[in-house]
Amino acid sequence: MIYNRKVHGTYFDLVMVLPALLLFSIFIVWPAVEAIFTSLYASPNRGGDFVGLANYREMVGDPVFWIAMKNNLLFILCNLVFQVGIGTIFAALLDRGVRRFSTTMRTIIFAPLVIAPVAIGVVWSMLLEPNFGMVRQLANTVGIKLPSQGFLGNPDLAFYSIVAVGAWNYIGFMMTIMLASMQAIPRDLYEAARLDGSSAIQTFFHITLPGVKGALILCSLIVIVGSFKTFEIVYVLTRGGPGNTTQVLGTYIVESAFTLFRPNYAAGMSVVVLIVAIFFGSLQVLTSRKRK
Amino acid sequence: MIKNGLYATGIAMSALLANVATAETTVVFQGMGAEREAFNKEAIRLFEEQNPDIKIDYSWVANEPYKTGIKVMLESNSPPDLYFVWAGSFANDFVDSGVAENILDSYERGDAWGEAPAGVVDQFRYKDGLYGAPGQLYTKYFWKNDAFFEENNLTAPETIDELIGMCHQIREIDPLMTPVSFGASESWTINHYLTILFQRHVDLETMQGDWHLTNDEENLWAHPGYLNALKDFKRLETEGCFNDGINSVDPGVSRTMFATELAAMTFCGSWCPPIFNSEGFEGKYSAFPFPKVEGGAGDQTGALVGVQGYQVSAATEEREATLKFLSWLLSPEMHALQARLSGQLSANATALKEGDLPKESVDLLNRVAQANVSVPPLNTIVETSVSDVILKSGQDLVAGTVTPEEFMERVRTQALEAKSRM
Repeated sequence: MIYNRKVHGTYFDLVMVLPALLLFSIFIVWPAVEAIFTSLYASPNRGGDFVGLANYREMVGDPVFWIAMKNNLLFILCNLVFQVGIGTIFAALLDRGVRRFSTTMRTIIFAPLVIAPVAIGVVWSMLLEPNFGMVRQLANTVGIKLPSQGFLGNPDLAFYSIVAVGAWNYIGFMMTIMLASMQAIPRDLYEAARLDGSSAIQTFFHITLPGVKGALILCSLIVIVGSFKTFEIVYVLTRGGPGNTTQVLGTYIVESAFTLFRPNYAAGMSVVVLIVAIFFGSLQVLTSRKRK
Repeated sequence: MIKNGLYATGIAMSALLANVATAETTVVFQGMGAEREAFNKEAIRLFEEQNPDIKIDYSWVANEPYKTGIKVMLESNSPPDLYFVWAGSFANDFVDSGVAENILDSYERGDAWGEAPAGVVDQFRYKDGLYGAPGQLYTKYFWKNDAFFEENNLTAPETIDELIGMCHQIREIDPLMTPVSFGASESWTINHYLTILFQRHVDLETMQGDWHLTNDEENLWAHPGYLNALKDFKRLETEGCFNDGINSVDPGVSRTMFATELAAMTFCGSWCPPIFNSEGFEGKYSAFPFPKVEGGAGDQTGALVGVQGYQVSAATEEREATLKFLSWLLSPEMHALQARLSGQLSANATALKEGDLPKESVDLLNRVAQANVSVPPLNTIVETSVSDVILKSGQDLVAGTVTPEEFMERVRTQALEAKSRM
C-alpha cells in the first residue's frame, strides 16, 4: 500500500488511537483515579470523612493484609515453579521427545485452560470434599489415610491445594507459549548438536533454553501479574480460609469491601495491587522492547 | 404537507395517551434464598392483580453471595427499592452507611406490616428510627434421626457431657454413622454453635454489653464463660462428634448427610425441615434443644432466635409504592401464605392457622415460645469487625491453629479497637 502523507499524518494516527484511548480511560484510568480518591476517605460506616493516608497506615499494621501479601508472593513463587517450570518441561517433551500422540497430549494438557476458573474451583471442591469426594474414595480404595480436615480444611495443605489446582489450570497455557517458541528454533541447530554428540539434556540447556529466553520471560511476567491478581480459584475453593490461611489480596479486598463494609479501605488495597501490577506490566513492556 | 403534519401529530398524541394509560411504577425487590421464591412470586402476582399500576421487579440471590452482593447493589447507582436483611448489625451497617430508609412513619400510621408483635418489630429499631420490617423468625435446634435413636435405645442428650458420651456410643454402634453432621466451609455455621454455647456459659446482661461494646474496657469480652464455651466446642470436635473436614464441608452437604441417614444428629435451623422433607426424610426426625451446660452462668433454656425482614432503600424514588408492597408482603394474610408455601417461621405467628406450617416447624415455634432467653446469631448482632474475628477464628479453632485462649485474646483486642472508634 502506498503511504499517503495527506491521509496518514499525526491527526490520522490520533483518530485511529482515539477509540482505544477513550475505552481505556473510561474502564481503566477513571476507575483507578476513583479508587485512589476513594482510598483517601473513611468508610461510610466510619463517618466517610477525608482521612488522607490513614487507610494506608492501617494497612501497614493489619496482620491479615500481610498474610494476604505473603500468600500472593508465595503464589508467584509456586506458580513460577509449577506453571512455567512444568509447562516448559511438557513443551520440551512434546517438541523433541514425544513422537506419537503429541497432538492428543497437547489437547489434554491445554484443555483445563478453556474452563472458567470458577467452574474449576467448584469441580475441585467437589473432588476434594473430605467425606465423599472422589479423592477420598480413591484414597480409601488404595488404603491411604488422608488428613481428617481434608485438603481444603487443613491450614497446612489448603494453600498448596490451591496452587496445585491453579497449576492444573494454567500449565497448558504456559506449555503452548513455550512450545510455539521452541518450534521457532531452527532445526539445523539441533541437527548440528546431534552430529557433535550432544545429549538430550545438553541440547535442552544449550540450544532450547537460550532460544526460548524471551518466551520464558513473557510467561514469568504473565504468571507474576496473574498471581498477584488471583481471586476466583481461592474464593471458590476456600474463601480465604480456614481462618485467613489462604487469604490473598483479591479475596481480602472483596471481604473488606463487602463483608466488613469498608469500601474505602478496600480501595486502598486495590491501589497497592494496581501499583504492583503497573510495576510488573512496565517490566514486561521494557523486556519486550529490549528483545526487539 | 398539512395532512402529513396532522397525521404525525395524531400518531404522537395516541402514543402519548397509550403511554399514560399504561404508566407503571416499578418497585425493584431484591430477595434472598430459593426457599422464599415460590411465596414471593405468588405474593407479587396477587399484589399486581390488585395494583395494576405497580410492577414488582423481583429477583433473588443465594444466602452466601447475598451477604456481599447486596452491599454492592446498595452502593451502586441503581439500588433495589426493597431488600432482604437480617436484623442486627447486618441491617444496622446499612443505616450507618446511609443507604437504609427510616420507615417509622409507615409503622406509626398503622401499615399492615406493623401488625407483627412489637418485640419483633423492635429488632429493627436503631438510632431513634425504625429501619426495617420483620418477615420471618429463624431459630436453630438439634435434630435427631428418630428411627436410629429408637432402634438403639438412645434418648436426646440433655447436657453437653451426655452429648459427647452419646457421640462415642454412636461411633461404637455404627462406625460409619456420623454422630453430628457439620459443615463449616461457610463459617457462620461455627458461629451458630458459638452463639448458643456463649449463651449457655455467660449471662445475658454481660453478653449484651459485649455485643454492643458498652461494657467497660476491663470487662469487655473478658467473661471466663466465653473461654469455657470455646473449650466445650473444641471437645465436641476432638471427641469425634463431627464428620471429617468440617472446615471444607458445605453446610448443604451436612444437611444431606442427616437427611440420607449418614448422620444421627445435626444442628440445623428452622429453614431445614422443608429441606429434609424435600430429600425424602419427612416424618423421620424430631427436634431437641441444645444441651445444657452444667454450672453455666447463662439461662439453660435459652435458644438462638433471629429476625429477618426487609429494608427500604434510602435512594428509592418510589417510597410510597414500595411501602404499599411491603405492607402487602407482610400482611397477616401473606404471612399465612408464606408459611404454607415456604415453611418458614412467620414473624407474625398470630396470623397463622393450624396446618399452615409443617408440624416440625410448629414444634420449633412452641419451643421458642417456651425459651426464657433468646439470642440472635453473633454475626448479626456483634459489631461487624469483632464478628469477623469470631467468624475467622472459629475456623482456626477447628483447624487447631489457635487455642481457645488465643481466640478470646483476638476477640478482646478487636473489641477494644472497635470500642475506641465509638
